[in-house]
Amino acid sequence: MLNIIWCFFILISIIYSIIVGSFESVNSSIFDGMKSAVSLVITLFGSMCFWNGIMNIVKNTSLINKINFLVNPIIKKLFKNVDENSEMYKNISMNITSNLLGLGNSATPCGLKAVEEMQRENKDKNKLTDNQILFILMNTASIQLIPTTIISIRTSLNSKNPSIIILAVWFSSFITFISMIIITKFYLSSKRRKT
Amino acid sequence: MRFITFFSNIAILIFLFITILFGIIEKKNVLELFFEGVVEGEKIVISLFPTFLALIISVEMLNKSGIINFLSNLISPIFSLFKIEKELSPLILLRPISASTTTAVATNLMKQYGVDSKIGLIASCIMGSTETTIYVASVYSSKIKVKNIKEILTIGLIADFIGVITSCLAFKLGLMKI
Repeated sequence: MLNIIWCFFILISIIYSIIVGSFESVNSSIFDGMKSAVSLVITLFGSMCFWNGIMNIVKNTSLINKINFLVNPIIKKLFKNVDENSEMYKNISMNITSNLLGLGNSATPCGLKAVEEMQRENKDKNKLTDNQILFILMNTASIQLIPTTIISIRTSLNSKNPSIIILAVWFSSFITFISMIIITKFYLSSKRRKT
Repeated sequence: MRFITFFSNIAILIFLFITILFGIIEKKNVLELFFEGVVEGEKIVISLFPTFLALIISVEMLNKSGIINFLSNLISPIFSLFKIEKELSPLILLRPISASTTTAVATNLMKQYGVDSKIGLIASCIMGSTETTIYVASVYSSKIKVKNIKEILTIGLIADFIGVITSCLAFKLGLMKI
């Protein structure tokens, strides 16, 4: 996917720049791009390392259990027929907790294990179960508590207050997440009525 | 307004305080755990560099060629129906597909219009409150070899669009005034 996007971007910019005559600035933009890439990675370097370090402390104290505990009632409400002591349940709850903490690297493996375990209970292997649909959709929504990447980019661009966006991000994520759950539940129940 | 500034400054500090406090109470080697995470973070950032380099250059080229502007003008009537700034359209269209591309696009927007400008703030909020829907859905569904994910994509993309609208709304409500 990314392969196609990248090649397409470069070819189309060259073609378009030749048509409208902006190729001089396109040429210089390559060198600007190199510089921005290095400065962006340096910015992210500090922030990613720092937050990964902090989240590693969270992961290794009982704080993670506390967050899990807060997440549990939501999981029980949303997912049907999931045994609380099953491996699947643990993976779902670890996935959601990791997503909250912005730990993509530990969220994805848990999440993949959870859908695989759901697939084992799936009767029609070519169709997603209700739980799978809901779970994958929950992963396509952003529920990160602290939007670290964007805050560090804002810092590198000399924002007067890089973290000012937190409340807005919570507001927007919350409404988006809730409406997604409502749409999904509505869709699933209307599908059941049809069959 | 003062509350929002106060809150956005204190939220991260409270989180840090609680984390460190828990580490100390449970007699963990807090610094050692921190280092462990940092080393892992280093690897992630280094593995990101090739993608960033490739995509930032291509986005910069697209931008300077003028085609982004051209396309934004083309689709702006649809976005203006929902009162969405047309400058945000490249970000909105690419957001569901690739995280690194949109990071590049968002950085570019913030540089161009100002990080604390209306466009810069809404772009930040969109980045923080939406995910790479198409990418995530395809990773999960390919793991269990299910091909039909139309329903997930439809609902996921609707949710992304809601995220864009609520990000604009958050600005209008003054949730991120500087």
